[in-house]
Amino acid sequence: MIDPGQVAAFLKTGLIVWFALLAGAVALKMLQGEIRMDGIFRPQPNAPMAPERVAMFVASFGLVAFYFLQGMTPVCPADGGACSMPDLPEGFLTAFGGANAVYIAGKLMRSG
Amino acid sequence: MPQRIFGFIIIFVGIAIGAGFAASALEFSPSKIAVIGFVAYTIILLAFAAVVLWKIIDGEISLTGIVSEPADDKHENCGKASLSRFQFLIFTFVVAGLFLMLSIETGGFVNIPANVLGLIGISGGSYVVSKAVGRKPEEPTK
Repeated sequence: MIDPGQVAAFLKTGLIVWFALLAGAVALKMLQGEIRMDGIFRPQPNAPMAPERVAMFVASFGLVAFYFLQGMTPVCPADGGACSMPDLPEGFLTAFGGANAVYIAGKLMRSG
Repeated sequence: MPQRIFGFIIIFVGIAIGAGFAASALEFSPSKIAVIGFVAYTIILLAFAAVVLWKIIDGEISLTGIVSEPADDKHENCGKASLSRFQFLIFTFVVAGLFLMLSIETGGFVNIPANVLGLIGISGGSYVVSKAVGRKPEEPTK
């Protein structure tokens, strides 16, 4: 008879592989130009680059990279309670909120 | 068409009854039936996932405008890329991916800290506000 643990391991591996392939497919389509990425730093197609967009892009990528590296290990309490994803430092959230606020403010000002 | 559906229902019910009789005759314990159900569920879930992924790679499910704003020109499918949509996409990928991996690693659903939820909230809020600001007023009807 099949061991339920083996089925679970197969399902887990399959889901991780699927998720990785999905992320890979989206990234590849971005690189190939199939997913439009032009104008990401410009408020309008022919407008110059907007600094608030660059700031938000850098803040987003920096935060995502930091959290991804930090988040590889779960935080489990010593008393055997439910584990948790790692928390973010308060300063990161403030910086990220600030970058988003500046981006929205820039967008509001440009839209008149 | 109704005849085909009727035929399908009869075949399906027949298979279900046959499987029930077979399980009874072979003296399957509830735990064995649960394992068989788990195997079937695994196959169905991974098959759905594979079909969706294949259709995305094949282009049948189009991702062209996944991070684009609505098109200005009616002849275009989508407009220029939107930074807030892109940001929302990468956060969703990272948080959902980490949640999946950590849940699998620990063997149970992991808690999501308030700061991470706040991060997704800021990203989602920024996307909604940017969508509202970028929306063009509708032309008055004549």
